[in-house]
Amino acid sequence: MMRFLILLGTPSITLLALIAGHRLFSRRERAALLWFAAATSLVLYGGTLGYLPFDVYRLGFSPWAPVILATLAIAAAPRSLPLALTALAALVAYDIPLFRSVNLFDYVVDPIVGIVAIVWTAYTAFRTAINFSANIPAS
Amino acid sequence: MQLLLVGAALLGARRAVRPAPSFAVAPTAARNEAPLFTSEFLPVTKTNFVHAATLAELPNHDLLAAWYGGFDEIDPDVNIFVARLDHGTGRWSPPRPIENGPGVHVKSVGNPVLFADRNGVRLFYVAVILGGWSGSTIFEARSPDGEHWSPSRRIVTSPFFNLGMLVRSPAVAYDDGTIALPIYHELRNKWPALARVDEGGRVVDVVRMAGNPLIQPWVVPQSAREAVAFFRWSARTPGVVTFARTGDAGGHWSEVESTGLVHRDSAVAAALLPDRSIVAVYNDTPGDRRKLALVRLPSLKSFQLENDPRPAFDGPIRREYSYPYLLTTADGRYHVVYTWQRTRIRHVTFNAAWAGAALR
Repeated sequence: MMRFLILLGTPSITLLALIAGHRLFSRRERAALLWFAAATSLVLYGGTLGYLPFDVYRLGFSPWAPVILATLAIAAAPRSLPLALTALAALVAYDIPLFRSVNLFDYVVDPIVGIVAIVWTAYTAFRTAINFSANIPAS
Repeated sequence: MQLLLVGAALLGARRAVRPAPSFAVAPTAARNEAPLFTSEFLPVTKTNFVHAATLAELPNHDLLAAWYGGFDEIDPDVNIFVARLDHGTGRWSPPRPIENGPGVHVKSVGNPVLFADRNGVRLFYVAVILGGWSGSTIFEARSPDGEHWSPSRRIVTSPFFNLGMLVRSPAVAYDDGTIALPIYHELRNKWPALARVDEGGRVVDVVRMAGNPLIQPWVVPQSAREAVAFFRWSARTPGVVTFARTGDAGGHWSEVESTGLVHRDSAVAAALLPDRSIVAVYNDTPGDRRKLALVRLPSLKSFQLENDPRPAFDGPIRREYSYPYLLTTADGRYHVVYTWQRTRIRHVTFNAAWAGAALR
């Protein structure tokens, strides 16, 4: 069990928000959060494991990282307060800092939420494609 | 909400801004002394094997050595041992185990790296969590005196379960209290990197230095802003020891170049000589690790520390002379420790006068 906990590391604020605040999010907001987590994870872990030729993780140490996240959250705030609150919680946790890391990425995504989000996104995209092809009228 | 987001972002941005550091390097002045070269074995640990020794000089000029030993690599009974060389008597203390897992159950530990400054001693090491070495994470323990050690803490270097990063080479102090800790990645892909670690053990930056198949960067500062780093060629086929340079204290690294030193997947150590040339220790063979040489760069003049013509594997005997670690002490001496047949740690001491004559 302890080995498992070490392996997991620290949960991201996104994961905590999805678990603890699942009633706060509408279906559409949850979908937006999962799409964001999937896209971020693909680029971040792709770079970390050497599938991409650049190191994305280093950007999380930059002073620009919190500014970019806050800009995205301000853009989302008029449409979704819960999403903006999730970003604010991640920024506050990063400011403290709540975990051992001072890299903003570690507060925004973690491998667990990344894997869940990528699987969910792939499944949703696959289902959408099936529905789309089923609705094409035969000529 | 917008104001809160702006405030939180500015607070975070302000904390993340750090001035570009400089290396806190001690000058290496030439001394007028007779050539000196000595060799000894460190005290025995009652283990089947030992490997990967490290050294640090304490404020009172005692030497602290650490290595790992147990039944075999990645075995649960592996411990990190420390022994101390009394500066006054010249005698090593009996080795004692100080760490075999960071407070929780991990598969094994290895690759200790000691770093000493006025605040005490820091021990960085690798803990294997899953599978082999590539499933490792880095931990840190601290001691005020080299005797009493704190519980270990995780060093966060990777976003992917914090797995795949290892340590093996000495850290270099920055002038702002942070340190440059050479690390390397082995999970799926290999690359060397330099982590800037603050006094609280938090990684505040990680710079990739090169790409596959280079690992185990060894950084030699040449001035406050300049350094050269040597890399282990970690592939099945023979390669060369490579190097890269920085002119901004590790913020950026040049393209990798060849030293011309042929080896295959074995560790390299290096230090600066008073004349600004570099002395390196490496396995000068494209195959196994039966040869170990001191070499001066860029002239490539060498001195054979080990050269064993017998088979590398002979029953339980492993004729391997590997994992050199090189430390320059305040008295201008160079200390090399390395694995000797996986059963002992050998300690070689020389000075610049000897290097000048033997590597001429």
